[in-house]
Amino acid sequence: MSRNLEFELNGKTCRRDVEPNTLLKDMLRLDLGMTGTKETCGEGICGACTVLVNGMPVRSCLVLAMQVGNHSVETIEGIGNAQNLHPLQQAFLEHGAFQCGWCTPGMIMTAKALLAANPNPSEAEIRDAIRGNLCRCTGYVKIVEAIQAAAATARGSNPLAQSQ
Amino acid sequence: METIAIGKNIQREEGIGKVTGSGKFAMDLEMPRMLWAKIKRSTRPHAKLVRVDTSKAKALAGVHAVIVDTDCPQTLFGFGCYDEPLLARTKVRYIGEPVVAVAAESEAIAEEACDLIEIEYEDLPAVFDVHEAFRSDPPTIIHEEQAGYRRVPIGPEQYNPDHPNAFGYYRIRSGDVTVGFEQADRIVESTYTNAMIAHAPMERHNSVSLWDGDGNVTVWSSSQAAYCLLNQISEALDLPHSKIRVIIPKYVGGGFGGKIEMKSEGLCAVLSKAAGHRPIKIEYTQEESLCWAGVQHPFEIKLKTGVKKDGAIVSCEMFVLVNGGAYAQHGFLVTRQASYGPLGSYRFPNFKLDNYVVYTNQPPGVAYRGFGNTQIHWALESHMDELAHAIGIDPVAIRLKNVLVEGEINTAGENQHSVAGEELIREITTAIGWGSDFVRKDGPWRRGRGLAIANKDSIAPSASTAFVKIHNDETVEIRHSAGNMGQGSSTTFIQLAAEALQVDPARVRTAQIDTWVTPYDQLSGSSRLTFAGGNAVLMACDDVKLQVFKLAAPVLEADAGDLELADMKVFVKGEPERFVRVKDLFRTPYFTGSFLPTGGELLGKATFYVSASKVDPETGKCGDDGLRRIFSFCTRAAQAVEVAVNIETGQVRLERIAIANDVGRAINPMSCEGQMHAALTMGLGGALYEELQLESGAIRNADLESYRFPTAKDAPPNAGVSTHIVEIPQPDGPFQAKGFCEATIAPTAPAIGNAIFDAIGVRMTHMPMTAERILAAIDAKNEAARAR
Repeated sequence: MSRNLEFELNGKTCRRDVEPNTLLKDMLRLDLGMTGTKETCGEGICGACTVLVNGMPVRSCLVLAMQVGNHSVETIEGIGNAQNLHPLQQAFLEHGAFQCGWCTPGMIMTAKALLAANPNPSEAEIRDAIRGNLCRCTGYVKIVEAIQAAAATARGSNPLAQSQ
Repeated sequence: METIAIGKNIQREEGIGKVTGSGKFAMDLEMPRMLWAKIKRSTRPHAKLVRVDTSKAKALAGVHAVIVDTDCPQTLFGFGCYDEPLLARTKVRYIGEPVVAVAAESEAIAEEACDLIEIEYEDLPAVFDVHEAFRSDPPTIIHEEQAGYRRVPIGPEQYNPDHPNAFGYYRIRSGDVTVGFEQADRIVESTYTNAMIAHAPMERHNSVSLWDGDGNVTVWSSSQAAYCLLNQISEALDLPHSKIRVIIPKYVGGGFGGKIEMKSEGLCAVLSKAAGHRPIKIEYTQEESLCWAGVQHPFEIKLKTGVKKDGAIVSCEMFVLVNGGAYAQHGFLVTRQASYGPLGSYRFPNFKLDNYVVYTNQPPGVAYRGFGNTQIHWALESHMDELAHAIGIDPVAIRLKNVLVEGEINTAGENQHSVAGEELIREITTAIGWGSDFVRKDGPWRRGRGLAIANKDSIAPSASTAFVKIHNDETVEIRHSAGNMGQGSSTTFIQLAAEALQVDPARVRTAQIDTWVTPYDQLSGSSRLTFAGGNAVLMACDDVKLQVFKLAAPVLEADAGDLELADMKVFVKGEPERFVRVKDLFRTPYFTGSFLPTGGELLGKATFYVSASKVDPETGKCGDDGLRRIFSFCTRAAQAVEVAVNIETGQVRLERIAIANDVGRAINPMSCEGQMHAALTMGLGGALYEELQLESGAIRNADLESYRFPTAKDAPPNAGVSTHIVEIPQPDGPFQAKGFCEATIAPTAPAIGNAIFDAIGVRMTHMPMTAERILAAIDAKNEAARAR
């Protein structure tokens, strides 16, 4: 028995009919075709499916679609696009902070929530924030660099100037 | 040399798609009328199939096809040894082997149908231990029909009736090891082993298969080797290559060797036909992806080496047993590649190696970043440290004494080019401050330093074909079938083509892999793409330039041989003002628009082929044939680490690490560093904690919570990582470049093991070196000390 669901998706009101047992990641990926949100483990370990709900990073494989009713959901598709990249997206691109790119959307969403709460995180704080976002390809070095660079950009400072 | 693209940190071609989430991976694909497949897998390690009852599954609403072995072509597929049916035929050989496949309206219905399938087994004796399996009178024979299997003949005879479970064998013989041992001042013997580990790509194995009404099979797959997959589908379905089309999206979520072979693409094609030619999607579960899509082979490596007091190796004997699992898959190639591993690092005046890969009732092993070189260098580099300590010289000194140098002919008779042995050791020891003082004791923590080198040969013979098309807007399109699983090969090709055609790399793109359009490439593996694929791209660029010059010559009233191309202008050499733009070569000869005046296309085509010397199957050596080449090239790596070991908990902390790789020439330094960091972290996981825990053939930690690989907190802090790209030109590489992504993973574990020994005097011989194993080794050492 499907139910009506109304929530905010990337700044716009979204109305769907969903089954009560539909997971948020399945509604995003299968119903809405928003495949930027990835899924690997399906049990909340890897972080590939991370989206923001009311600004907080959430594993969309552990959340029912019905649970986001009247809340705001933000996905990788909502934060920027090829013509208008988010500073984190730009930094990931410039720093080569991905290899296969599968974990990248979840990683960027987690980093976005981090920077909203802490505009000037230390490396340890960055590693702490992304510890639940597994990456098999990069070794994290350039991901940390990219998040630091995006943070510096957001603070309006030049990361190179600052480090000198 | 001033360059347009070579040596520059060009952003990834697929970067925008990755950071915005707009890039489509195979798992993101959906087709109209698509059905979902699930596989019912064996719960027994070795058993006869007595009864398989699918009637309840077939009766379930929403189920469109249920197939067993007899519904499939009665073929066997493999990779050089053809031993595997699509679905279990009369018996199962490992827990997890596919027995029945189902296609249904949804994944949930397909899963429910699998639960309704009844399988009755008659258990057979099972064997998991590689020694038991290797015996002349093993407890069970896993492939009774092995003697009749079709094989690709390479090296010595693979089947040996004295060892009926061994399915692959390689040997190397050089000099006389007995004589060599007589010359030695010290002889050290040791044995090293490793656990089974998983590739764990973030995009689980998945595909969509369609067997259409015209009899063509089209597969969209998250594969790293389009033409290997095409060939395996062809063998499994008994269809000609011409009937099979493999499409690989431009986005593939990791491979690491685990996406070279066919998974369920062929099986799902059979389901597609059975379900009325509907597309069939399969997504492996996390358990399937970790355990049953191929794993890394556990090795047992026995070494006996004689050295002189000055550190010179005089003799070395190795005996290797590889636990191959229930089907051959890449087992023999891994065995052969690993056999040559020692010979790419050091010179051995006398050398003897025997290496068997053996069937057991465990999940099959496949290629894994390095093709057995991680295991072989884990053993060899730990052993080198033992040798150094036995004669009382520095671990650096013993390596410098024996390491190969440029132009040397190695123990296998192969001429060594682009050899960065000493250079790599120098880089890492300088970076880590080898020989300098450091704080060794800090509460329960003990610090130590260690180093290791490694190498990886890249397969030969090897071939790659490229097409390069220039469009009428002066953009360039590369058509190639090199799988880009994240390593960035398409951007490498773009940089090479941009340099060759002297055009802005932003004007160059690659096409999606589609074997009906993009040409042959051997595989995305063996670190071969930059070298083989890159050379093919450069040759295709030369070809298209000739076509451009031929068209431009009459326009410029010049000889085609006097022309050159830059920035999409064709110049007369030495007369930069006398040019025609490439786009102006396109006219409107027909009412259909702007094309070449004579029709056709500016489409360069070329095949790069690297041949190999004939190898004597008795010795594994090549002779003086003027070529002296067994492999395409050899890439080398070195790492030095400083670790802290907690003697109360057994915990190991990686404090600092220096990593160095020779790349021939860095086409894209940022990409090179990315691959080096990646391999370091993957190597760290395998060194310290990754392990698929087996119990009577069943894997007990088949999820990412209990199969842990390094998180951002486990990897060393950025300040602790010192990254060194070393450029020793590869003479026949594209702009002297070569691939390197595999060797870089191999030194991590032995460097850490050697540092642990330096810290606490305990020699670890099994990887992963978990805290529990380190504590046990400390206890054993203390026990032994008390006993004395």
